[in-house]
Amino acid sequence: MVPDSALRLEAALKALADVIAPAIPEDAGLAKEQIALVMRSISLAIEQIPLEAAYMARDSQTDRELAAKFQSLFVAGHPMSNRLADAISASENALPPTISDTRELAKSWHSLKKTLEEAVSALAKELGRDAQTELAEIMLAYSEERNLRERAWVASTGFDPDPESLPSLETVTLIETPST
Amino acid sequence: MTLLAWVDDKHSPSAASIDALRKRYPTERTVDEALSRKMLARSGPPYAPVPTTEIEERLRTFFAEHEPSSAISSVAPLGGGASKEQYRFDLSRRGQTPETYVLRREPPESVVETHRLREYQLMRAISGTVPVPDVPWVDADGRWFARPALISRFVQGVTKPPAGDSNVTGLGAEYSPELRRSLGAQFVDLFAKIHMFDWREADLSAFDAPPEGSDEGVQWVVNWWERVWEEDSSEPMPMIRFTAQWLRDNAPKIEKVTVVHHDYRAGNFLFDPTTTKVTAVLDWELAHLGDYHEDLAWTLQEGYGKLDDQGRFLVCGLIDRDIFLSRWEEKTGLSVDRRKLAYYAVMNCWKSAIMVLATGVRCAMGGKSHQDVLLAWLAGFGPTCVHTLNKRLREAIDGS
Repeated sequence: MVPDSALRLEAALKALADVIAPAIPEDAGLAKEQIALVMRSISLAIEQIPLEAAYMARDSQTDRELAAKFQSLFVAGHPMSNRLADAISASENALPPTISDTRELAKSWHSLKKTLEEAVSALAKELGRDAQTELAEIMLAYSEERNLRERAWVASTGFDPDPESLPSLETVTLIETPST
Repeated sequence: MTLLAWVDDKHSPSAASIDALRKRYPTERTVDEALSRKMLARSGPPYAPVPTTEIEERLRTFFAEHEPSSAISSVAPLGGGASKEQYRFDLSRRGQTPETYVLRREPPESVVETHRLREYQLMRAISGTVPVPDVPWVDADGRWFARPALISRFVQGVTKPPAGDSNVTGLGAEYSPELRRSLGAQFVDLFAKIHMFDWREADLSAFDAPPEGSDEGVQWVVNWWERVWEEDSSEPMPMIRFTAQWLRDNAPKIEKVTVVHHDYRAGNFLFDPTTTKVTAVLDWELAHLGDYHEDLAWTLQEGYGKLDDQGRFLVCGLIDRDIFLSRWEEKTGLSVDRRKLAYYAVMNCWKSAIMVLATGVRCAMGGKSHQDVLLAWLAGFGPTCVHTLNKRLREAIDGS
C-alpha cells in the first residue's frame, strides 16, 4: 500500500508547515491558531491510525469481561442478561484473526458499549445495597483499566498530568489471549 | 465517513425522540429550550464561515434600529474561545470617540449549548458586584444575527501572563510569584462576591431557582447533563451512566442557593498586566442558581491547577488550596462542607467528561462549529477528566 494513509498525512502536514502556515498574515490570529491545531491534530492521527483497529479489539475485550460480570449480577432469566450474552457473542464474532472490515468491528464495539450503558443503569437501580458496593468496585476497576488505555492513546495532546507514567500505545493495544 | 459517523444513530433525531428526552430529564426551562433547539437543528447544515462583510451588514441593520445615529467600522474576527464565534467592531456615536464592542454569536452547535438570555441577564445583574463586560444588547432568538448572539463592550486585559506557558483555553496557566500574590487574593475575593450576590433582588427571569433544603436543584443539574450525554455521545461509556445514577442517589440538599458561575478559573478572567488588577470576569454562559459547593469544586479541579516548587497544589495556578478555602470562608461567612465538596468534585469531573467527550466530539462530527479542530483536540482532555472522575468517585465511595 503505497502511499499509506499515514504517509499521505505526512505529506499534507509538510505542505501545511512549509507553504500554508507561512502565508498566513501576522495579524490573522484565528487562522494562525487554527493552523497550529490542524498540524498537531494531523500529527496525532498519524500516530494513532496504525493502531486504531487494535485499540478497538483490545477495548472490546475489556468490555466483554465487564459484560460477563454484569451477567452474573442479574437474576437468572433477566432480559438484560440475554442481551448481554448476545452482545458478547456478536463482539466475539466480529473479531476475526485478521481484521478486514474495521466498520463491522466498530459497529459491534459500539453496540456492546451501548448495551453495557443500559445494563449498568438497570443494575444501579435494581441491585440491593451490598451488591451496589460490588457493582461500584467492578465499575471503578473497569474504568481505571480503560482509562489508562485512553490516556496513553491521547498522551500527545499534552493534557495528561502524568504522561511519564503511561504505558506505550503498543502495550495498551496488545490483546491478551487466554492461556490454554 | 469516519468510523464514529458510521455507527452513529443521533444525527437526525425525530420530534418524538426529542420530546421523550425532555420528559425523561426535567430541568430548568431555558436549559431545556437551548438543548431542544440544538436537537431540532441537528440534521441541518454544518457551520460555514461567512465573510466578515456579512457580519458587518448584520451589525449595520441591527444598529440602524437600536442606535440609529451610530456607525460601524473595523469588524474583525477574534481568536480564542472554544464555544462561540466572536467578532470585534467599533461603534461610533455622533460627537463621541468610537467604542469597541464584541459580538458573540452561537455556531449551529458548540461545546456547551446554552441560552444567551441567561448570560445577558446574569451579567447585567451582577455588574457592579464584580467587574464584567457591559452587555447592552442580546439577540436571544437570532432574529438579527441568524443565530442567537450577545453584544458586550470590549474590555482591555489579558487572560494569561504575556510570557507564560499554558495549553489551549488557559488550562494550566503559569503565573510568576508576584502575579500569584496579587491575582490570587483578587481571584478569591471576587469569587466570594459572586456567592454573596443577592440574586433574589435581580431580574433573572430566565432562571429557575431551586428550593432550599431540598436536593431538587441538584437533580435538575444531573438531568441537564445526562440529557446532554444522551443527545451528544458518540461512543457509549458505562462509567458515565454509573456515575449519573450515583449522583442521583447521593445528591445533597442545597442549604443556601447562590449564583454558581460554573467556569470560574484561570483563562476566564481578564487582568491588566501592568497594574495586575482584574478587569473582567468572563464566560457566564453556564451560570445557574444552585449550591456554591458546585462552584468551589469546579475551580478546585486538578486540571486547572498547578503544583508549586514545594509540591503544594495551587488552585488555578494562583493560590494554595487551603488558603483559597479559608479566605473564601472568611469573605463570605459561609462554611465549606467537605463531604459536599467531594460530591461536587465527582459531579464536575463527570460534566467535564461529557462536554469534551460527547458534545465537543459531536460538534466536530457534524462540522457544526467554527472550532471543530480545537474541539477534536480538546477531546484529548477527556481521559484526564475520567481519570480524575475515577479517583474522586473512589474517594467519595470510600468516605461514605
